Amino acid sequence: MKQDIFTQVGKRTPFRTPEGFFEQQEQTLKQSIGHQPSAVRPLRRRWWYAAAASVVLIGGIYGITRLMMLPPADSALYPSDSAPIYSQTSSSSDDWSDFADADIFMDNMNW
Amino acid sequence: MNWLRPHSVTTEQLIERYHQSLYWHIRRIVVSHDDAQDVLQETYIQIHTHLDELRQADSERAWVYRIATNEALQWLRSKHAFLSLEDDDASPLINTLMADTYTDTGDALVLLMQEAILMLPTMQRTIFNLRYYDEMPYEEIASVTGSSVSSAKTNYHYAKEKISNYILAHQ
Repeated sequence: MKQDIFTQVGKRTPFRTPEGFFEQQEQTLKQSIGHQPSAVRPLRRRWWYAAAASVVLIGGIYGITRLMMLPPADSALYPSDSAPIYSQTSSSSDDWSDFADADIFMDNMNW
Repeated sequence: MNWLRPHSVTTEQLIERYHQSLYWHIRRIVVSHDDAQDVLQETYIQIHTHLDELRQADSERAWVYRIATNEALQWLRSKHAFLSLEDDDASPLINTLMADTYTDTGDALVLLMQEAILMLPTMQRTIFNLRYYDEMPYEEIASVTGSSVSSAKTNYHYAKEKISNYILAHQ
Protein backbone atom coordinates (compact mmCIF):
# COMPACT_ATOMS: atom_id res chain seq x y z
CA MET A 1 0.00 0.00 0.00
CA LYS A 2 2.80 2.37 0.97
CA GLN A 3 4.61 1.58 -2.26
CA ASP A 4 1.38 2.18 -4.19
CA ILE A 5 1.29 5.83 -3.15
CA PHE A 6 4.63 6.50 -4.78
CA THR A 7 3.65 4.48 -7.82
CA GLN A 8 0.34 6.29 -8.03
CA VAL A 9 1.73 9.81 -7.76
CA GLY A 10 5.05 9.13 -9.43
CA LYS A 11 7.08 12.29 -10.01
CA ARG A 12 4.11 14.57 -10.45
CA THR A 13 4.20 17.75 -8.39
CA PRO A 14 1.75 20.63 -8.05
CA PHE A 15 4.47 23.10 -9.11
CA ARG A 16 3.88 24.93 -12.38
CA THR A 17 5.68 27.67 -14.29
CA PRO A 18 4.46 30.40 -16.65
CA GLU A 19 4.34 29.59 -20.37
CA GLY A 20 7.75 29.82 -22.03
CA PHE A 21 9.39 30.39 -18.67
CA PHE A 22 12.52 28.30 -19.19
CA GLU A 23 13.42 29.84 -22.56
CA GLN A 24 13.10 33.32 -21.10
CA GLN A 25 14.89 32.29 -17.90
CA GLU A 26 17.88 30.95 -19.83
CA GLN A 27 18.30 34.27 -21.65
CA THR A 28 17.85 36.28 -18.45
CA LEU A 29 20.45 34.19 -16.64
CA LYS A 30 22.97 34.54 -19.46
CA GLN A 31 22.44 38.31 -19.57
CA SER A 32 22.78 38.69 -15.80
CA ILE A 33 25.97 36.61 -15.80
CA GLY A 34 27.41 38.81 -18.54
CA HIS A 35 27.44 41.74 -16.10
CA GLN A 36 29.11 39.83 -13.29
CA PRO A 37 32.87 39.76 -12.71
CA SER A 38 34.29 36.26 -12.78
CA ALA A 39 37.18 34.74 -10.88
CA VAL A 40 37.70 32.38 -13.78
CA ARG A 41 41.27 31.87 -14.84
CA PRO A 42 41.19 29.46 -17.76
CA LEU A 43 43.86 26.78 -17.74
CA ARG A 44 44.93 27.88 -21.23
CA ARG A 45 45.91 31.28 -19.87
CA ARG A 46 47.70 29.62 -16.98
CA TRP A 47 49.80 27.65 -19.46
CA TRP A 48 50.75 30.94 -21.11
CA TYR A 49 51.85 32.30 -17.77
CA ALA A 50 53.84 29.13 -17.07
CA ALA A 51 55.48 29.25 -20.53
CA ALA A 52 56.40 32.93 -20.14
CA ALA A 53 57.83 32.30 -16.67
CA SER A 54 59.86 29.34 -18.01
CA VAL A 55 61.35 31.47 -20.83
CA VAL A 56 62.36 34.18 -18.35
CA LEU A 57 63.85 31.59 -15.98
CA ILE A 58 65.81 29.76 -18.69
CA GLY A 59 67.03 33.10 -20.09
CA GLY A 60 68.15 34.18 -16.63
CA ILE A 61 70.03 30.93 -15.98
CA TYR A 62 71.67 31.11 -19.42
CA GLY A 63 72.75 34.71 -18.86
CA ILE A 64 74.22 33.98 -15.43
CA THR A 65 76.06 30.92 -16.78
CA ARG A 66 77.52 32.97 -19.63
CA LEU A 67 78.72 35.62 -17.24
CA MET A 68 80.38 33.01 -15.03
CA MET A 69 82.17 31.48 -18.03
CA LEU A 70 83.82 34.76 -19.04
CA PRO A 71 87.59 35.04 -18.25
CA PRO A 72 88.35 37.01 -15.11
CA ALA A 73 88.88 40.68 -15.70
CA ASP A 74 92.59 41.68 -16.16
CA SER A 75 93.53 44.14 -13.49
CA ALA A 76 96.03 45.89 -15.79
CA LEU A 77 93.53 46.33 -18.61
CA TYR A 78 90.53 46.94 -16.44
CA PRO A 79 91.81 48.60 -13.30
CA SER A 80 89.33 48.26 -10.58
CA ASP A 81 90.38 51.37 -8.73
CA SER A 82 92.24 54.51 -9.53
CA ALA A 83 95.34 53.93 -7.43
CA PRO A 84 97.38 51.94 -10.01
CA ILE A 85 96.65 54.56 -12.66
CA TYR A 86 98.06 57.33 -10.51
CA SER A 87 100.97 55.16 -9.59
CA GLN A 88 101.76 54.50 -13.23
CA THR A 89 101.50 58.11 -14.29
CA SER A 90 103.49 59.37 -11.37
CA SER A 91 106.34 56.89 -11.08
CA SER A 92 106.91 55.79 -14.63
CA SER A 93 105.93 58.89 -16.54
CA ASP A 94 109.57 59.88 -16.97
CA ASP A 95 110.51 56.54 -18.51
CA TRP A 96 107.61 56.83 -20.85
CA SER A 97 108.57 60.31 -22.00
CA ASP A 98 112.20 59.20 -22.55
CA PHE A 99 111.02 56.38 -24.69
CA ALA A 100 108.66 58.63 -26.56
CA ASP A 101 111.36 61.13 -27.26
CA ALA A 102 113.59 58.42 -28.56
CA ASP A 103 110.84 56.87 -30.57
CA ILE A 104 109.59 60.02 -32.25
CA PHE A 105 112.74 61.92 -33.00
CA MET A 106 115.00 58.94 -33.26
CA ASP A 107 117.95 61.12 -32.49
CA ASN A 108 119.67 58.50 -30.46
CA MET A 109 118.96 55.63 -32.71
CA ASN A 110 121.78 53.98 -34.51
CA TRP A 111 120.65 52.91 -37.96
CA MET B 1 46.10 16.67 -9.24
CA ASN B 2 42.56 17.96 -9.89
CA TRP B 3 43.93 21.45 -10.53
CA LEU B 4 45.59 20.13 -13.70
CA ARG B 5 42.28 18.94 -15.11
CA PRO B 6 41.30 20.88 -18.24
CA HIS B 7 38.75 23.51 -17.37
CA SER B 8 36.84 24.42 -20.45
CA VAL B 9 33.27 24.70 -19.16
CA THR B 10 31.71 28.15 -19.08
CA THR B 11 28.87 29.49 -16.96
CA GLU B 12 26.75 29.74 -20.11
CA GLN B 13 27.21 26.01 -20.71
CA LEU B 14 26.27 25.25 -17.10
CA ILE B 15 23.14 27.37 -17.56
CA GLU B 16 22.20 25.35 -20.64
CA ARG B 17 22.89 22.04 -18.88
CA TYR B 18 21.32 22.60 -15.49
CA HIS B 19 19.05 25.64 -15.35
CA GLN B 20 15.84 23.60 -15.63
CA SER B 21 16.77 20.85 -13.19
CA LEU B 22 18.25 23.39 -10.77
CA TYR B 23 15.10 25.49 -10.96
CA TRP B 24 12.97 22.45 -9.98
CA HIS B 25 15.40 21.47 -7.23
CA ILE B 26 15.28 25.00 -5.78
CA ARG B 27 11.52 25.23 -6.26
CA ARG B 28 10.99 22.04 -4.27
CA ILE B 29 12.95 23.62 -1.41
CA VAL B 30 11.63 27.19 -1.41
CA VAL B 31 8.20 26.35 -2.92
CA SER B 32 7.34 29.79 -4.37
CA HIS B 33 7.96 30.34 -8.08
CA ASP B 34 9.18 33.92 -7.63
CA ASP B 35 11.55 32.92 -4.83
CA ALA B 36 12.87 30.01 -6.89
CA GLN B 37 13.65 32.43 -9.73
CA ASP B 38 15.60 34.73 -7.39
CA VAL B 39 17.48 31.86 -5.76
CA LEU B 40 18.31 30.37 -9.17
CA GLN B 41 19.77 33.68 -10.33
CA GLU B 42 21.80 33.99 -7.14
CA THR B 43 22.96 30.39 -7.62
CA TYR B 44 24.30 31.14 -11.09
CA ILE B 45 26.05 34.27 -9.86
CA GLN B 46 27.79 32.10 -7.25
CA ILE B 47 28.62 29.48 -9.87
CA HIS B 48 30.05 32.17 -12.15
CA THR B 49 32.08 33.72 -9.35
CA HIS B 50 33.53 30.41 -8.14
CA LEU B 51 33.80 28.60 -11.46
CA ASP B 52 37.51 28.19 -10.90
CA GLU B 53 36.74 25.81 -8.00
CA LEU B 54 34.82 23.44 -10.26
CA ARG B 55 38.12 21.83 -11.31
CA GLN B 56 38.61 20.56 -7.76
CA ALA B 57 35.14 19.00 -7.65
CA ASP B 58 34.66 15.29 -8.27
CA SER B 59 31.33 15.76 -10.00
CA GLU B 60 30.14 18.78 -11.96
CA ARG B 61 26.49 18.07 -11.18
CA ALA B 62 27.14 17.61 -7.46
CA TRP B 63 29.07 20.88 -7.43
CA VAL B 64 26.31 22.96 -9.04
CA TYR B 65 23.63 21.24 -6.95
CA ARG B 66 25.59 21.91 -3.77
CA ILE B 67 25.70 25.63 -4.57
CA ALA B 68 21.98 25.64 -5.42
CA THR B 69 21.12 23.74 -2.24
CA ASN B 70 23.19 26.09 -0.09
CA GLU B 71 21.59 29.14 -1.69
CA ALA B 72 18.07 27.72 -1.26
CA LEU B 73 18.62 26.67 2.36
CA GLN B 74 20.25 30.01 3.15
CA TRP B 75 17.24 31.75 1.64
CA LEU B 76 14.89 29.56 3.71
CA ARG B 77 16.83 30.32 6.89
CA SER B 78 16.69 34.05 6.25
CA LYS B 79 12.95 33.85 5.53
CA HIS B 80 12.32 31.81 8.66
CA ALA B 81 14.45 34.21 10.70
CA PHE B 82 12.35 37.07 9.29
CA LEU B 83 9.17 35.24 10.33
CA SER B 84 10.77 34.25 13.69
CA LEU B 85 10.10 30.58 13.03
CA GLU B 86 12.11 27.42 13.57
CA ASP B 87 14.05 26.07 10.59
CA ASP B 88 11.89 22.98 10.27
CA ASP B 89 8.50 24.61 10.73
CA ALA B 90 6.65 23.60 7.58
CA SER B 91 3.55 25.75 8.02
CA PRO B 92 4.77 28.82 6.09
CA LEU B 93 5.91 26.55 3.25
CA ILE B 94 2.53 24.79 3.11
CA ASN B 95 0.85 28.20 3.15
CA THR B 96 3.12 29.32 0.32
CA LEU B 97 2.30 26.15 -1.63
CA MET B 98 -1.41 26.81 -1.34
CA ALA B 99 -1.15 30.53 -2.07
CA ASP B 100 1.32 30.49 -4.97
CA THR B 101 -0.07 31.46 -8.37
CA TYR B 102 1.87 28.64 -9.98
CA THR B 103 0.59 25.81 -7.80
CA ASP B 104 -1.77 23.36 -9.43
CA THR B 105 -4.36 22.42 -6.84
CA GLY B 106 -6.27 20.18 -9.24
CA ASP B 107 -4.93 16.82 -8.06
CA ALA B 108 -5.56 16.26 -4.35
CA LEU B 109 -3.21 13.30 -4.00
CA VAL B 110 -0.31 15.11 -5.68
CA LEU B 111 -0.93 18.10 -3.44
CA LEU B 112 -1.10 15.89 -0.36
CA MET B 113 2.15 14.19 -1.22
CA GLN B 114 3.86 17.57 -1.63
CA GLU B 115 2.43 18.64 1.70
CA ALA B 116 3.83 15.47 3.27
CA ILE B 117 7.24 16.22 1.75
CA LEU B 118 7.12 19.76 3.14
CA MET B 119 6.47 18.33 6.61
CA LEU B 120 9.88 16.62 6.58
CA PRO B 121 12.87 18.22 8.31
CA THR B 122 14.73 20.42 5.81
CA MET B 123 17.78 18.20 5.27
CA GLN B 124 15.69 15.01 5.06
CA ARG B 125 13.43 16.74 2.53
CA THR B 126 16.43 17.82 0.46
CA ILE B 127 17.82 14.27 0.46
CA PHE B 128 14.42 12.82 -0.46
CA ASN B 129 14.00 15.29 -3.35
CA LEU B 130 17.47 14.61 -4.73
CA ARG B 131 16.90 10.84 -4.67
CA TYR B 132 13.26 10.66 -5.65
CA TYR B 133 12.98 13.42 -8.26
CA ASP B 134 16.55 13.83 -9.54
CA GLU B 135 17.42 10.12 -9.16
CA MET B 136 20.80 11.06 -7.82
CA PRO B 137 23.12 8.29 -6.55
CA TYR B 138 23.63 8.31 -2.77
CA GLU B 139 27.33 9.16 -3.20
CA GLU B 140 26.39 12.33 -5.10
CA ILE B 141 23.65 13.18 -2.60
CA ALA B 142 26.22 12.89 0.18
CA SER B 143 28.49 15.25 -1.73
CA VAL B 144 25.67 17.76 -2.30
CA THR B 145 24.41 17.77 1.27
CA GLY B 146 27.76 17.32 3.00
CA SER B 147 26.58 14.15 4.74
CA SER B 148 27.73 10.54 4.63
CA VAL B 149 26.38 7.97 2.18
CA SER B 150 24.85 5.92 4.99
CA SER B 151 23.19 9.02 6.43
CA ALA B 152 21.72 9.84 3.02
CA LYS B 153 20.35 6.30 2.69
CA THR B 154 18.87 6.34 6.20
CA ASN B 155 17.29 9.75 5.69
CA TYR B 156 15.74 8.70 2.40
CA HIS B 157 14.31 5.56 3.96
CA TYR B 158 12.79 7.50 6.89
CA ALA B 159 11.47 10.21 4.55
CA LYS B 160 9.59 7.64 2.47
CA GLU B 161 8.10 6.13 5.61
CA LYS B 162 6.97 9.50 6.92
CA ILE B 163 5.45 10.55 3.59
CA SER B 164 3.53 7.29 3.27
CA ASN B 165 2.24 7.53 6.83
CA TYR B 166 1.22 11.18 6.37
CA ILE B 167 -0.70 10.43 3.20
CA LEU B 168 -2.43 7.42 4.73
CA ALA B 169 -3.41 9.49 7.75
CA HIS B 170 -4.75 12.42 5.69
CA GLN B 171 -6.40 10.66 2.76
